[in-house]
Amino acid sequence: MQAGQNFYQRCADKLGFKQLFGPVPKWVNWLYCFGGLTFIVFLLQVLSGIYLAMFFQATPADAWTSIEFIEKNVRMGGFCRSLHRWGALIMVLFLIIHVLRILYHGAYRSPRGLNWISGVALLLLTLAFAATGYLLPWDFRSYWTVKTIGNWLENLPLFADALKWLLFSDAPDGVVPVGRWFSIHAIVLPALTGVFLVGHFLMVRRLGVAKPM
Amino acid sequence: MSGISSLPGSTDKNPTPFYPDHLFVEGVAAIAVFLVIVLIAFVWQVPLEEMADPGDTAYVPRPEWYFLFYFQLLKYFEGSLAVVAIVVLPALTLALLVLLPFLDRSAATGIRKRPLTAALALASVLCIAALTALSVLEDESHLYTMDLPPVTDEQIAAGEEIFGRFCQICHSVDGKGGFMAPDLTQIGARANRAYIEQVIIDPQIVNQATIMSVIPLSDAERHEVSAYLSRKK
Repeated sequence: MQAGQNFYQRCADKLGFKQLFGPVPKWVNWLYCFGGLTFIVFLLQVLSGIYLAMFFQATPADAWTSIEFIEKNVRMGGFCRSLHRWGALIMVLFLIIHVLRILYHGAYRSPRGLNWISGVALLLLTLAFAATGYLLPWDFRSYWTVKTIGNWLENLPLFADALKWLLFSDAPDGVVPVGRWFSIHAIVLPALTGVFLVGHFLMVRRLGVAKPM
Repeated sequence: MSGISSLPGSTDKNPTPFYPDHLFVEGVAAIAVFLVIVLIAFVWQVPLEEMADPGDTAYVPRPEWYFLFYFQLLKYFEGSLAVVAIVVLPALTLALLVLLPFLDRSAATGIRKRPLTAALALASVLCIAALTALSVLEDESHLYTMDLPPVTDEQIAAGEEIFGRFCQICHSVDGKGGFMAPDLTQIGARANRAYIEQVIIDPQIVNQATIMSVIPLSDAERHEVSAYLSRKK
């Protein structure tokens, strides 16, 4: 145990994260774990997502076939896809519990306001992950979800055409650029999430967590 | 003191060391969650639905559970009011979330000492929960229902024969038939028997955009075709 503590101290000193992993108040209980658990599930999503991306073909013609290939031919492919899907559901669940805990404890108030806002951004990014990931298998649900989103956009008073172009490109009717949604899901959103996560963690380091009622 | 700690200057005099005490708690929680997700993924494998078919309008898309409340909300704002649900309400919610630290500046810690914020948060949670519950309930009641005779093997065999005569010109099943209309190989997985009956009685009632014509079948023949198709899963 002592050797472990010494090793930890040396690492903490060298890497400069001593403050991040400073002492924890006695009143921190299991409810405070959900932010960290959301991050753990996110890491799981990244790993399973990378594995799936190795075999996924991001075109409307090949997307469904490649998922079928992953299910039937890739080692642990079906399990990995299930892991990714269940992970997504559980990540949202943990995030909601985390947000409710913050609201209950009033942890959004000054001086943690900016950290709350970065958390709101992470919440939106998580929902964007879910929405874009929904389309990728290019099955019945994907197609009709995209059609529904397209119909909603028709009702926008402003920027409807611009948004439709951004999401659906100039593809002919009925063909959605799966590649574009995949690039948003696998490149743009993870990059943005990484940036906001670093900010979120740094602010947790500086400001700590709020005391319970 | 910083990190996962109270604010500087707080009166917390007896903190727990991060290592090994707190790390142990976090580590156990993380491993437990990881194992639970792995177990769920093993036990309940996510099935792959059929490949997207723009021609098959029988499918009713459902969002994931966390988007159900919004899906339900959109039903109440149709036509010119749709902009309220699509733009106004999400924008207001987002603005409220971002501005929350500036709107609630009280130093009170107890939730009872923050009645306005507590009431707003509680009302939002209840609204979301109610809309989600309504969506689930409406999904169940929206399923087409009809008093239909029980399915027998004879009916299924007769239905297959009638389907071959009247429907297979346009529709295909198990790779046989026409390609002008959607493939019905797994129609039973997407639509119940009553729905199939309704499509045969008057396709335009189910889907105004369809070009399918009314098939002149007797009630008995229609029951046989629906019995046959509802078993195609």
